[in-house]
Amino acid sequence: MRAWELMKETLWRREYLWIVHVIWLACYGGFWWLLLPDPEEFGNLLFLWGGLLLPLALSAGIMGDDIASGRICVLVTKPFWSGKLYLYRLLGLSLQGALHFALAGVLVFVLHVITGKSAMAGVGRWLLSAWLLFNTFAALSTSLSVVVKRAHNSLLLFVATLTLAVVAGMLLHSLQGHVLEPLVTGFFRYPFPPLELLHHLGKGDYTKETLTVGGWQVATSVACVAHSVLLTAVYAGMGILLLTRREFLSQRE
Amino acid sequence: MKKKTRVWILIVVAVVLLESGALYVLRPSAGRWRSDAVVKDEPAAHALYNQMIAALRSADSLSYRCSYSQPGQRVEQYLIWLKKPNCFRVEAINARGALTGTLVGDGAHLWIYWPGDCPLIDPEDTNIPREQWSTFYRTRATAVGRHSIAHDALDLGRGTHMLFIDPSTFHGYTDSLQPYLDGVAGRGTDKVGQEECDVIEVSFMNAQRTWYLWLSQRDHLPRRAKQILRGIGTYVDVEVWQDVAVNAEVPADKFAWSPPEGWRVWTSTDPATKLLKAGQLAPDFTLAALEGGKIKLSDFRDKIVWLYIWRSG
Repeated sequence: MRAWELMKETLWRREYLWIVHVIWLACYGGFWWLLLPDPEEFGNLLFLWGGLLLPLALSAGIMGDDIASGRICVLVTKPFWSGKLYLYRLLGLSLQGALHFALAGVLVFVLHVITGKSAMAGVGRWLLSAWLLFNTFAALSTSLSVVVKRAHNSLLLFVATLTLAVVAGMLLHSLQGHVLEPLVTGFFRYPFPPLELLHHLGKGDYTKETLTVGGWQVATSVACVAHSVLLTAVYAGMGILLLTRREFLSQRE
Repeated sequence: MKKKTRVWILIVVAVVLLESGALYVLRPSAGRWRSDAVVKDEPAAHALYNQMIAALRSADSLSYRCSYSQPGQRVEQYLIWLKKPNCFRVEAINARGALTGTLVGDGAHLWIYWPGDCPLIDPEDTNIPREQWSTFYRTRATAVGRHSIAHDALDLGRGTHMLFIDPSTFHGYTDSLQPYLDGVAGRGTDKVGQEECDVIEVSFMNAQRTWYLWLSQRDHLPRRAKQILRGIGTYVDVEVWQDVAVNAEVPADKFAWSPPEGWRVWTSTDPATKLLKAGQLAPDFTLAALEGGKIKLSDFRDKIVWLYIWRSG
């Protein structure tokens, strides 16, 4: 019961969060309705808008708010293991994400049936990869929220992601053909949120009609999903470790 | 050691093993290579390509089921029977499993017929009453090695596609891409179904087209083929060859057809009838200029206009 209450709280802890969901869904619908996208263009929007920006918007201050107000001391009192607080908050975010993407799928399907516009091919794949990305960013942002004050976790993560993307792009561009290129590529590809790998998964690069030489690559798709889930678990593990080792003040910080 | 510690060690080991497996599968490798340039010709790979052409041409008979697909579209099937010197049969089956048309070559002529309405009738530009759209067929003479089954297969029904490995190669036909072959590179080996295959990449016209071919190590014929066409957009087609039978007995009636009574021959409208007559005013049109802006034909009135129409891909 307490677990469910904590999960539910991730949606109602700030008044505007349900509005974020509605606005995001309206953006998908508007994009589909007005711009006649092909499935890949729509998938890219879903991936970046829903997979990257949505978790940042939903997780702003997810732990930091309670730490700042001193409410955290009430939430983590014994015999309640403080790691559970983190877990249920993250699960709450992940469930919200799953519901959000399910609604997005229903929305575009209804629009597709009504307007006859575009095609639904590959949308399911995009929804899955967007949700997996959502989970990695949600975990990272929640972990940051344990150590960063108030709602600065989302902003910090957003700036860090942008900076990392720019630095990676510049480095890889200048290292083209260099002996260090595979090493640097691996460094940016694997420990950070798997934007590139999940984008390939969503785009269908691991299916039969991929632009690459391969045919059906079920093993690659499974590996991609496993890597993403494990990365989420590692980010969450770091957050739990930080949370359980912190001493909290009962008064407002 | 405490039970709790043992559980944590087990979890960490499992995560490390799982992640190692995932990273091993996701590692960059030649097999995941993405083409973005003309391939450098490798003699060994080029020999495999030549071997495929030779295997196609040296067989006395060949039959296979070709499944054709494009991203986001359902699979069409083409059932193909070929026999020397100039016999062939192609049955096109749409995604719903219905036969849409049959192409038969009896050695001297080809025949195309459809189970329902003739798909070559343009509903918006025909005087034929709706109830008379069926019982049509097409025919013309075919010289050995001088006709393309892949092109003719386009008439087998609405929405049928052009097979990019032209079955006419079996009869000695050389498709128009071959003179523009840039090179062939090896991409290792792979398994298609139970068949061990050599994978090669063939690039044409400065990589405007790329083929990936999975060639059986047993008979050197394709089991899977993928074409990437780079024009204004990028298009991917996949052919999967199944039930491949080389030099198997094919009943003679597969290559015979004559129109049943009452069927009419379909003749396309002669394009010449739609051409402008001397002295007739050309209809005005506007096109985008390469330098930006628009070009209007009427801006060049009383001047000689040279229309140069070209395509890429």
